[in-house]
Amino acid sequence: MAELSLSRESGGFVQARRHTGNTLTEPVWVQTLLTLIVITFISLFLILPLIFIFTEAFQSGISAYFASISSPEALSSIYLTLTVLVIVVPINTAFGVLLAWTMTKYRFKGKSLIVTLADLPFSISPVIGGLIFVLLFGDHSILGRWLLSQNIQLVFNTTGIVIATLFVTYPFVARELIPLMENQGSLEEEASLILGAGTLRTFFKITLPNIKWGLLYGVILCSARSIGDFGAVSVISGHIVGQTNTMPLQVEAFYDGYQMTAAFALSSLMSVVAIVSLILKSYFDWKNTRPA
Amino acid sequence: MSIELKNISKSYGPYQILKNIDLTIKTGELVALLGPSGSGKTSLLRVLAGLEYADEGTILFHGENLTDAPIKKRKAGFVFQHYALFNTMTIRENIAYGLKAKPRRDRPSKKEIQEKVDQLLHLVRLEPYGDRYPSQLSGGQRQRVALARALAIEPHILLLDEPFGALDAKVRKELRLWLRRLHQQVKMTSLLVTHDQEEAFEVADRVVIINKGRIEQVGTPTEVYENPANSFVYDFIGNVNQVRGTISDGLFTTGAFRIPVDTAGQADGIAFIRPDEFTIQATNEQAADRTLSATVTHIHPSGSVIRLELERQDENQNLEVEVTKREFDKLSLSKNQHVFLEAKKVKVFTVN
Repeated sequence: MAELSLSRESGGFVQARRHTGNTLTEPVWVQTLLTLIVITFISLFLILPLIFIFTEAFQSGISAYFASISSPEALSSIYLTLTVLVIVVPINTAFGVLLAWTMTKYRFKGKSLIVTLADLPFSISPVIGGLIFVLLFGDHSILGRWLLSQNIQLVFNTTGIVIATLFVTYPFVARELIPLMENQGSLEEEASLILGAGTLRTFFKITLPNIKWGLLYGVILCSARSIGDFGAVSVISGHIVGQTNTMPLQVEAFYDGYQMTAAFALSSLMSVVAIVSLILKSYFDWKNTRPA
Repeated sequence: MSIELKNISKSYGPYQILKNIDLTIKTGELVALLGPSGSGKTSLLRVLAGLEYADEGTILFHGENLTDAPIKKRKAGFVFQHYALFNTMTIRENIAYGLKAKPRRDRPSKKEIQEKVDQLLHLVRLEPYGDRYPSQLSGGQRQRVALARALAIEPHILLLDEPFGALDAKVRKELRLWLRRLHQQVKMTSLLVTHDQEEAFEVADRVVIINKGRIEQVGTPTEVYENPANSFVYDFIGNVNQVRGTISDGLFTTGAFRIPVDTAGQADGIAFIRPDEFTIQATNEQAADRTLSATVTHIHPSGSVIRLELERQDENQNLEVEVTKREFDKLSLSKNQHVFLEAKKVKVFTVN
């Protein structure tokens, strides 16, 4: 009897060892090869271009770099991009929270359809997003002609760019929050209401602290996209240099005018923003997934 | 504060989850709502708290109609199965939350809040843990915090939704006794939802058995255990043998076993006999028609009560019988032995 149980035990031990050995069956050379392919790909397509942007930007020296990013066209595009950013991000943050709240705390028919539709800007080409608004608000449509007759101009100006950017960036916050809030459920909110707190207090004291890091993560993604979007903005802006050119549009304008240093200098500025937001994003993500 | 529910009904789409519930809970009473999962007991509790609204019916708190009143007005303390503590706050902040949320004119001063929190921490025996976060406590400790938090606002009634359901057996038993004692101390009108009959019987003054949105029986634990109102209650509140048979001319018959019943006419019936309501005899001395002849198939010799599994000889059915250790030793029973089971107490219900 004792012998039997012993042999079963040792059998189990061998099995356990073989099982852990089995999780990675590929020979070492295959593992090395696959890792090398990944590293090569990332270097070629991400790191090399990034280095190239900065070398090109600083090729004619530091003073040329600063001269080109402080040219009136460049400054105007930076100003416009920041203007759009400070309008779009707060609106879409508020709307994203509202959308996520509605989708996760209430029950109603057609909810999954709305969640699917909310992702539309991700699946549709931004160019088409921009085009929709040009057609809708330009003199091609009844609405557009009426708006123009009222002297309301919604395309080829900052308003148009804001609208197009709102469209392209609205899902980012909600997309971060919906799975998070779904996972958390409404128990804490219910507890708060029963303890006599009002809706506002419940939101600011209970809901917001719980979704804080996910929200910041969404805001960062939304900001990065708002700064960098080209397609929708390109269609709706009308490319008026010094007036309706955002940073990405101005990069293209510089490039088309063979002003390479200026193009790369402005690109380098946007790259810095992208890298900083990536770092922030990873930090918030780490904070978010860490248990409280 | 007494609670009166009159004719409460509620549906989710086509599913009616509460059907004409009438129930009165007296001031200071602890009542357990006992039912299987999906019976509507939690929905009833949520309707009382104001987290959901009934489609029909009236809710009176001490005579005041609060059927459509918002959550705040009901002044109910609620304890959730999964604690629902505020994870971003310390234990002290959790307990103080309801006090800080009061409108300015009713809000106690900072010092008063501190004192109240100290008192409550003492009451739930968690004084050293005030500055920790919920995730640093065990399940039983968290549920005690949840209770302290609910009591902080001095609620008029206390609603507990399967409060010990997520805890392991030992902690559950401890907290049960503790809740009983706490209730004797504070004497707050309380309603406890549970699917565990042992818990309901041990803690509550009265038990309400609920099934498929309907109340099946209301009574003290003894009343319900001694006199189950129908076959559902009999089956639900404890381990019981169910023997199928036929009723004819005032006699329930199964195999050679027959006993008189009140039911007239012809019907199928089920006799309910609890495992401890048999007397085991080696020979059939008593009237043969009150006994079932059976063979011992299994003996579970654990603890002060010995559980026996037997198979009836006249029909293919297994029976479970419990005897005391003393009785078992006296009979010196063994496996495969043939015995006679005399039923001391039998309750027969007709099958619809």
